[in-house]
Amino acid sequence: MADQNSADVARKLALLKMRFREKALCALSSLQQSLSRVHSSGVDSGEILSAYQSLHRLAGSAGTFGYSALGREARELEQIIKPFVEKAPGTHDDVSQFLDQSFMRRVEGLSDMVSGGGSESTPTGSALEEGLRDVAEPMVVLVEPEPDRARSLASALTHHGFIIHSYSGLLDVPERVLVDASAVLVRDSLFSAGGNTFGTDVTLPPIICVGSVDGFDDRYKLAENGADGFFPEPVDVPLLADYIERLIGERLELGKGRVLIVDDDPELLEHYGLVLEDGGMNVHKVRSPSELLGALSEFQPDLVLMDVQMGHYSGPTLARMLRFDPEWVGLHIIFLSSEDDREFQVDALSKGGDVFLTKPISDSFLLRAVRVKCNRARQLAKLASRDSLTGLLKHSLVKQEVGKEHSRCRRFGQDSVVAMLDLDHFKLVNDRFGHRTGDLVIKGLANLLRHRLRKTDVIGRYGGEEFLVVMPDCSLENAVEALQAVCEQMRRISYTSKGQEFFVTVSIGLAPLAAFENGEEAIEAADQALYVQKSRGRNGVSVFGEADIGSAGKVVQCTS
Amino acid sequence: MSDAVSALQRIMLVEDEEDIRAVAELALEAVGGFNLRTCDSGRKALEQLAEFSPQLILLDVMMPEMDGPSTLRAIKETGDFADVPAIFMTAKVQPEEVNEYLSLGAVAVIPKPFDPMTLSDRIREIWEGLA
Repeated sequence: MADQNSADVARKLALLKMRFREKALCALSSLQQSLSRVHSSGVDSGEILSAYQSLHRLAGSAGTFGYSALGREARELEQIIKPFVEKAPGTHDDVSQFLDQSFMRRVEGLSDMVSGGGSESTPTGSALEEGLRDVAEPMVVLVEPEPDRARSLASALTHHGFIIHSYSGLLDVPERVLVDASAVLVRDSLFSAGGNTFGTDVTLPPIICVGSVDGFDDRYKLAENGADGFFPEPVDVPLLADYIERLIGERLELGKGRVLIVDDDPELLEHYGLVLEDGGMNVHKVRSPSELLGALSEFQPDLVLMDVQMGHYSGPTLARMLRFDPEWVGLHIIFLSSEDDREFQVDALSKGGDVFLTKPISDSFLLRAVRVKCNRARQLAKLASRDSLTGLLKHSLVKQEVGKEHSRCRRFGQDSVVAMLDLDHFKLVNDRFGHRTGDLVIKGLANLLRHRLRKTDVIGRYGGEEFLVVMPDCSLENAVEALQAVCEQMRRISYTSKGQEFFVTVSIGLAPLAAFENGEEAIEAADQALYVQKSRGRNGVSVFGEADIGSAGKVVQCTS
Repeated sequence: MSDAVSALQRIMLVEDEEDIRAVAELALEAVGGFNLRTCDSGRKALEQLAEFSPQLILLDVMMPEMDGPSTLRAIKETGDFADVPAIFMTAKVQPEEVNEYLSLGAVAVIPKPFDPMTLSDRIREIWEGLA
């Protein structure tokens, strides 16, 4: 159990490290731009201060995420700038003292220290080191004794954005790899014959058997041994990739619910909190109902667990009051009470509460009830905002996000990018292979975007085969690079339908968000860039405003 | 300081950087087993003091609006929580700065970057030293 916990910590650390790296790269690129502005157009005390703060932050955080050398270098640069931070503006001579070629080169060098993988060894060793391995993409363990089959399945899945660790027998899989895996694919005969050697710990990744066993008894045997899924041969790789993706999604949602507990009895509050936290829930506790509204908007829970009577406040009345606010109309509430009067419960429910649990209630029952309700609440919230095929944001919501990000990046003077993506010749795919295959291709691109882009990027399905992406706090160059990688990977994914193998490419248009008056105009510009790319021969990325050399008469001018 | 000998459970962390808050949550909750409350500003920390009633407060130094030292001064002025030990966590560790923080009433300064795997041990050490 202790091992499990430290593996879990290591995995979370690895994710945080990834996030740190992405943010650091963006921060460094804006630092460079800001310094070169100071260099060319003279001193601006605001820009020097923000450069200093940005170096200071890196100096303080890089080491924690395993980039010690980066932290030390940032510290030295920070110390060089420091004396100039409080200097009066207009003293250009002073600035040239530090802002010389060598300083700029060192600042540029910082980016290399981040993007170079950064897996410099940290003195702390083992656990941390282990956790800080890069896990940019979900890792899948493949157990297949036949080398040719293993190789071809591994390479096909790699194109879908998975990292594959291949083994020939169940016992060859090291435990630390197993706990890190998002899923395990096993040759069915190994699993039914030798039995499951992994155990049935619920924290293990889902196990999917691949093979040709058929018949009721054989499949029953696999299920009995603990298999979570079965995939018949020949393997339809895009379908398998989508299946793994869904299993990963389900696991991520399991038990990660956010619960706000309101109870005026401090001991009960503490107790409920402990039970739910132990069950892996994210809990926020409030003792006084008057703090409820503030806690709601800050914590954004999936569910509120509330005592039915707190001092002179009644839970059901509070529930009704919460729903005055349009934001909380759909909020799920569970009432807890020793009150077992039916009439009272009906009354409570009619006032908008959702579930009524009668105390005393066992810990495990409470946890189960909250978990089920949380998952349900999440699914409902997701259904309302997500596209049912891809799980991405729906048209209107992603457009809304563009608008929000537009005002945000205008306010903070940051670079953000809008991208419009469109699958090439998609109609042909639908016509020739049918909508089922077409849907699979759409899901394929959706999953690829989820893997390749940052957690902070907002991805939406804009239309049939069109996608809209917002990349906050990201330079145009970084966006181009990330999306070129998406194009590159998309065109390698092999689809098979009606016995025919085919590939689908994607065209992408980009526009810098802050250069436009509003979000709509930026989307329009990205769309224009997309059409430029289509006319350039598809399969690639175009930026709005880049001169279109390919076709005459379609030169687009950037407004910035 | 009778509270100092009892077991340390509730720690409040005031830190504006989301990444550091996240890594500190891991370090102090998952690794250290503490009950951690994170606040992204000094103002929020002051608002939540009474409700959370921390036994120990960790403060970042450089934060927008209200920096760590001002937050600590404001905490000292609350009266009720003036005696809660505070530790600064900062990348600035010039000796004169350390002295400044200690003179504000901080009990220790933990230099950043910190190692997430050993942070809670470090904090426990400091806590036990307060007894």
